[in-house]
Amino acid sequence: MMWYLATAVEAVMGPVETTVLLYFCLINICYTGLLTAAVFEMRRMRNEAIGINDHIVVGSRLAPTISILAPAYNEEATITASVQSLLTLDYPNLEVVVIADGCKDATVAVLTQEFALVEVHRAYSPRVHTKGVVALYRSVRHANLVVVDKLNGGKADALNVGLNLASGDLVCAIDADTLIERGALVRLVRPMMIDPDVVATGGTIRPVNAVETKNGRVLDVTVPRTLLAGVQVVEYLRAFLLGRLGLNRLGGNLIISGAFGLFRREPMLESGGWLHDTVGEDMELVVRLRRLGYERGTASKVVFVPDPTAWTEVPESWGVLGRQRDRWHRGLTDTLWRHRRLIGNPYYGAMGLVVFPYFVLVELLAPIVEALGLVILAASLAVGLIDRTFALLFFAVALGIGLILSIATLLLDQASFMRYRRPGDLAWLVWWSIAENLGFRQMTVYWRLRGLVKYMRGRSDWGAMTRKGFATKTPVPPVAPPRAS
Amino acid sequence: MSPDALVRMVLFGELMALAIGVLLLVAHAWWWWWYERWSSGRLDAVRTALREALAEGDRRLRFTRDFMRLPMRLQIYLLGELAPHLTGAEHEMLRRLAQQAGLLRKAEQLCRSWFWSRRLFGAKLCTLVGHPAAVVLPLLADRNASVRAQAVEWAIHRPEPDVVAQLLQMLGDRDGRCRFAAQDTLVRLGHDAIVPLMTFIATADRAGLLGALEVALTMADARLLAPARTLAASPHADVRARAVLLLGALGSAEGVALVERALDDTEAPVRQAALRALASLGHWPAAARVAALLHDSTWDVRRQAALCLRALGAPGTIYLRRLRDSDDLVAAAVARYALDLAATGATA
Repeated sequence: MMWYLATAVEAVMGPVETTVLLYFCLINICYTGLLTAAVFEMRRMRNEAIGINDHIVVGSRLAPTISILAPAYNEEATITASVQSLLTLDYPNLEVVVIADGCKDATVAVLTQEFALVEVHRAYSPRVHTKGVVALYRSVRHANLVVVDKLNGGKADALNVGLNLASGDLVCAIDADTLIERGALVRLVRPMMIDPDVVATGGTIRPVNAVETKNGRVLDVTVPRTLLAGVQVVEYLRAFLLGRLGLNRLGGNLIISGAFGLFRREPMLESGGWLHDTVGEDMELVVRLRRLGYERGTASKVVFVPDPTAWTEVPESWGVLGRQRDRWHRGLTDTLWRHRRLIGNPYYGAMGLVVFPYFVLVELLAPIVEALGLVILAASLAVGLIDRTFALLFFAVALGIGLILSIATLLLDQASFMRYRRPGDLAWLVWWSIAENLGFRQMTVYWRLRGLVKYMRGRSDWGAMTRKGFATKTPVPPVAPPRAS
Repeated sequence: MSPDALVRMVLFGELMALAIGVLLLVAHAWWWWWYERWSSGRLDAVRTALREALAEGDRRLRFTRDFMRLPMRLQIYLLGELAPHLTGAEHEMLRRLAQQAGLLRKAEQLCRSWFWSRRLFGAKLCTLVGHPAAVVLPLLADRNASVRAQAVEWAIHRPEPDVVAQLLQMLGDRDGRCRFAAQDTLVRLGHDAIVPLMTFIATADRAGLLGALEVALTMADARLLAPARTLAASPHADVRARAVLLLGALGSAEGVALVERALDDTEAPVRQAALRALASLGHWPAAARVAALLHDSTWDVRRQAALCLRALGAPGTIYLRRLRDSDDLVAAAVARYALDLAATGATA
């Protein structure tokens, strides 16, 4: 009986094993290529940065105008600190547009009181269709602050309202609870000033958990000591410094993080802004912008810049993290499906021939193949098809490659930016690089698979996200309820 | 080789790579920790000495001595930190220090390097201390855009006609960094750049012209009125729009007449520019014509017309109040918006 089972398993496993092995080689060749490209790209960017005087841009009237779009939903406790930190960013021509997305708490009332807002008539050109605007406010104290109160419609809808109201040449989309470093905008705008074909740029996002902040400013950077936050520090670094930086050289990026991205306003308006009916609106927008660029004969480039940093809170509970990852994978799948005609299409240049196939093969299918590999390994071991020692060694090789990539990314980060200065923090980073392979990585495979299944079933919900909040909480003053007109 | 042996070999290689990686990480962290401790004390001492030298003017010797003792890397770091905040005699003192420390000679060597990053570094050093070395001049035409942009920034220290002419040529540079640097340097050159700018405007192609008009707008020198008048009749809408804005910044009866004429331009960006120009001039006699543009076919023009009326003061406000109750709902909305803005002090 066992012999028949083993023969049957062997007959099935043979080709599957080969596929998984080939995929294993392909994925690691891709990662190695990305790492190599990232090192060269980092070197180029660091060299170029020698010649750039940020103070000249900051002091120049010729710098392009930037409108920051900050959607907020029930953030009465932290909104004051967030807006204050946005208003004090180092950039000369800055407009801050806060979009209260149907807040049920006193967010608008707190803003009205803290920034001396005055309601003005709602006159704007709705070039992108959105849900209704309830009220528009301007600040008496800060001429560059605009606050919009609108009906709840989700983040994409809120950003689109901001896009309609913004007056800047460029718009910077952020999460209201994202903490942007003071000089980040000047660095983020560089590629757009250099090359008129660049339509979007994005900076690095780092987890703010365990980082000491005050009044919207980072005071002291430390590595979290808790598992989930700790491994996400390494994971984010790998995603940004290895993945996105490497893609800069290999055909351009498809993702600009929704928490911190800069876009040219006019192409955004022409493309219709952020889509409402997807959970991956940030990626979908970038793909659409690039695709339209190719179709209109203009090279719409998307550039990742590693040195401007935004800090954001990452989930520290398995449930919330799982929902976030499953949503990210649904967003990825949805975007790739919507734009499926780009795959391998030479009309779309490197985007169609390199980047899109990479996203499909490596990012989309990775959880399926990884899960398949684990199942095969377990099945083969169970029926004695492969030697236990060999299996363990092979498993160690696979983990080793991941670990090498993580350590190389840490080296790249430390040699370039030296964010984590204490030796103890480095030890923690190395530990989290090892620890992420022991359970966390397998869980992300499960969450991403779950995302795929949900996508097939047509689920498009965001899932509840809970945050502790890092911005300085200000006691909410007794305020009158927000006016509706 | 058996698969087992191959896997063992790969694993051994991985372990070695990991060990080297971790070692490098630790070594880098340790070096940085040591370097920060080692350099911070020395830098602080020089900063303190500089503060005293600037305040009292009689301890320059001590500052010079402390500066000379620093390694070159820290000397350059300190120059980069101090130079943007110093002008006049203090900046000159910094330049002399750099010369004594041999930094200027080093910078000149770097400017001749085959590697673009070194040429960039050399040009940066010359810019920081205001060293007008002839060796930087050829870098204005360097094949690398970063080097060119840096050389443009340096050119503020050599406001000679041929240098200014080269800067003007760069206003149409494909690389935005060079364009921005050229515009910024020309604006900072001010008086020295006006006459060459006028000559350039007369002969430039469209790309160069747009950049030149932005510079002219920032400078707003009365001598630019003649070219602005000519360009207000350009066949290109973007050139006309910038010329009209320039006329608004310069004023004069003839200029205002041309701006008013631009209110009837067929292109919306030109009408919008004319409204901006009239707002900056505060030319209230045009209020009636501006009010008519609240019924324009383009949203941006309507909004700009309302903001312009607001900027025209009482005459504009009267029109806005009338239009607030207009049957044209868009005109009424922008009029209300402009009136509401008055309470906030915002301009747009």
